[in-house]
Amino acid sequence: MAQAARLNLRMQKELKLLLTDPPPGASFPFLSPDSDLPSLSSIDAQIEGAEGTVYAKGIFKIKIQIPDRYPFQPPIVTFATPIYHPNIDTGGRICLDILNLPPKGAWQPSLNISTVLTSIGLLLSEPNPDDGLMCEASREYKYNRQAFDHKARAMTEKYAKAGDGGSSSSQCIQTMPNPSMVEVQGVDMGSKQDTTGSASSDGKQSGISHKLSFKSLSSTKGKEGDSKENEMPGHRISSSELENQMEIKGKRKEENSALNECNLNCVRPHGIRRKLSLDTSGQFKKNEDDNKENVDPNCCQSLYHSQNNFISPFGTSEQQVSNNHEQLRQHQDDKSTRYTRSTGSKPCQITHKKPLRSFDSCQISDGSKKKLLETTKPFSSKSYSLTADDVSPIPLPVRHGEVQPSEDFSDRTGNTPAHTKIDKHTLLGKKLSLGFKGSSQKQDNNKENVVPVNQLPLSKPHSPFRKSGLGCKLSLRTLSQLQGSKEDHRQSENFFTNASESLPVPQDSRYDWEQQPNQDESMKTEREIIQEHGAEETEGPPLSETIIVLDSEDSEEEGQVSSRQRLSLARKRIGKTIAKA
Amino acid sequence: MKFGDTFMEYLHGEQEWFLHKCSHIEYKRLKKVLKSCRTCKVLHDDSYRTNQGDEENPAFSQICQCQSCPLCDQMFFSELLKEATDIVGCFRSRVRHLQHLDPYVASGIQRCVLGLRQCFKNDQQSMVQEGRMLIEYITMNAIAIHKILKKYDKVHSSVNGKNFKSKLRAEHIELLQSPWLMELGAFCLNFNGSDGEEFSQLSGRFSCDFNVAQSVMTLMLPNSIKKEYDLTCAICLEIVFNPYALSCGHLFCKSCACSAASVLILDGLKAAGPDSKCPICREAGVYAKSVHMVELHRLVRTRCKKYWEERQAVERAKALKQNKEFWDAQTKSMIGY
Repeated sequence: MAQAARLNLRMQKELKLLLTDPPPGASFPFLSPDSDLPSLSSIDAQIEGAEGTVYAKGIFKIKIQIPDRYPFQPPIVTFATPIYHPNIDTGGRICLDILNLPPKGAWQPSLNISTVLTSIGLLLSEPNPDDGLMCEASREYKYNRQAFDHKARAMTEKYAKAGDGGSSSSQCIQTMPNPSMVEVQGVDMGSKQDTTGSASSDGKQSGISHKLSFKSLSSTKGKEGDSKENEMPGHRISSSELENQMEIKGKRKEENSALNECNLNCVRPHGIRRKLSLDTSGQFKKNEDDNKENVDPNCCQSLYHSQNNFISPFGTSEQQVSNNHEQLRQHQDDKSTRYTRSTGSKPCQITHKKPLRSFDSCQISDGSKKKLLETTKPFSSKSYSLTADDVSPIPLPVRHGEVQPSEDFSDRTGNTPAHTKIDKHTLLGKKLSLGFKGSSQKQDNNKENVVPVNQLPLSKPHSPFRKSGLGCKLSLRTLSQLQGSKEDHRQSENFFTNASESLPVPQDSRYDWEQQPNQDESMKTEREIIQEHGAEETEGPPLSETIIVLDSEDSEEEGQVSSRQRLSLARKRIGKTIAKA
Repeated sequence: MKFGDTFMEYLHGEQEWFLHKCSHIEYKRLKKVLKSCRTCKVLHDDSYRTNQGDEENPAFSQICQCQSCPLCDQMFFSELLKEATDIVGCFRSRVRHLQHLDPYVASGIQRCVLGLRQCFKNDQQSMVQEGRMLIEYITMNAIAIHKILKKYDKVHSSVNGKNFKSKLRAEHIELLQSPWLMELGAFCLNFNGSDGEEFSQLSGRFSCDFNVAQSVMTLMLPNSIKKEYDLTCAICLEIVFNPYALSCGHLFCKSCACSAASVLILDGLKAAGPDSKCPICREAGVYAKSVHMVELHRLVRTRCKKYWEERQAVERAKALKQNKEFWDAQTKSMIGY
């Protein structure tokens, strides 16, 4: 009581001080000297970006919460307005020593809100990249000042304009973790409906759309540009609709396949997102991004699960494979850990965004069947859209460099027929990664990605048999993604069984694809390619695996590719086993 | 009049008997050192000039440069440092003595004894006398240090003097920053307040102002230099209550300082760990030698009665509550539930 009274006294004095002599650039729109008892436990302040800095003309809202033991505990200060700053993370938390208690920080009871705001103002004009909370931003600040300035200005422009409600977006950010969960649920719904069989395409559609919309939500929450975000959900939904239409048209088998694909898609996004994030993580491993952390781990986990699942059922025949898997998994673990650590929400948001755009174009151009492919497309196309974008100018060249060696490697390996499958996978992976490279390679991507649409029907015969299994699995498991991926694997396996042999020469296959107008997701392309070349023989698993391992070791992107490959490999395995059975 | 003369006059003036017991700045001697340094420098300059003329004996100038200044630096600063330390120590003991003699501050038996003593001889007069002498003493020495350092900088055209000043501050022996001086000032003001006009000449140098916005105590130095002491606690932002001065010279309320050092109020500041830091300057280990400013406390009590009473009640309740909580926790942990 006494303490509270004293605290009140101090706070009143401080408030008076703040109002009469505010720190430079700070204002308190919600504080008025007349109010006899202003809210003492939390204060809303606004701070202006100093002239001549990248935050100039921005007005940043700051939330100051006063703890009970206030003068002896530092106030909790967060940015309510998104800001691109090396020492301020996407959740608005500020890395400033005087905001922490002494062992770690430098808070002193003799400091007050005015001094805190002053030092925050200084922090805005003088970021401290050596002690960065946002690794990406601090690196950019250090090594690529132009990019940093550009991004920071864009963020300031977007969120910190006068009269802009930044707080809501920040809240969105804070709620980020949920969306991913929701997504999963949505996927579940979709899958269940599929399993019930009676589920109409509409139902499915709704489920999928749910899912998709959720995703889009999550992406929007990731501080994405509003317009882009808004576009996204629509596209996704439309894609799902297209799928649904296709399903309706097609036979049940088709439906199943479509569903599977949908599931695939559902899974995909995660995987791809993951991949992309991995890429980004490769560049900025130390970045801590709450959003990503929240969202991604789920994906990672699910992926792991799926991998594990793959391995376990088919483990007998390929222990080597499993070993390789193990290695890969370790690899992945490293990456995932890193990547959980990582990184600026931006990259991932970007990834989200871009796919949609590419999507649009795809949808416009493609027919119904293609639409199915399209759903997958976005992911493949993502990468290149990324590159096209100005968002991360630096990363691109780096990626370029990283990726190319892998390509060469794969090409070399591709000469030997036994390795072809792997090569393909790698190629596919490359494609994804290649997307970053640039326009010239975009073409390659297109070629590669182009999936023979005709081949889809080929897959259909296998689908029904899968279907039942799918249904059970889907219904049983909460993690629909895993199941979906499994299903996909099965499908692919089937294809593989048919086309057990991969292309003799990877380049040839590429050319074939080139002719096809469609861009497809890597996985699908894989499958289809495999189908095409069904007559060809399967490659020796051990060899391929070793190669994969090598790839994974090559670079992080390669590692991502490897994860890809893993999936595909697992599928192949499954397919083989099934075929044998 | 030159300060050297003033200082000499002061030293050999009416208070000579008092100054014999205390060390003081050897202004004359230090000045001599500087003078020799100056001649050396002139010599050096000459040699430099001759060097330029006919390239003769470069060794000489070298020697001069190397020997003279560092040597006198060493002597000069070490002596000054020693003297300053002595003065501060002397001053501290004197003021403490005075503080104990103050009947208003002393407690219990001490007060009785003092009261008895006062029956036989009028202590007050001598105390006032001593207080005045002490103020004179500390200000004269402070000025002496200031002047001599200024001279040093002038002679050497360096900033060593300034650096030395900051060094003094860092070691808490800057005379005018001593909390004891504040205590003395409060003592004088207390006498002034209690005894009316009689001792107004004593507190002439000191004045204090407790207004709402800021409470300061001002010390007027002879050369119309003003020294201000902020009496606001940096933690609660109010007038210090039951003030303690940490050894870095910063003032806090006792309760605030205890909370900052996370010790019980009843345990007092001495219980603070050696690594707890001053809330203002972040210097570690300043709690052990903290000074309880009794006179200042009394000053606040007499000058801001209302505030003092309010605060007293609040602080009592706070200490009590804290203690209760502490012992509750102790018993709980003892019982183990």
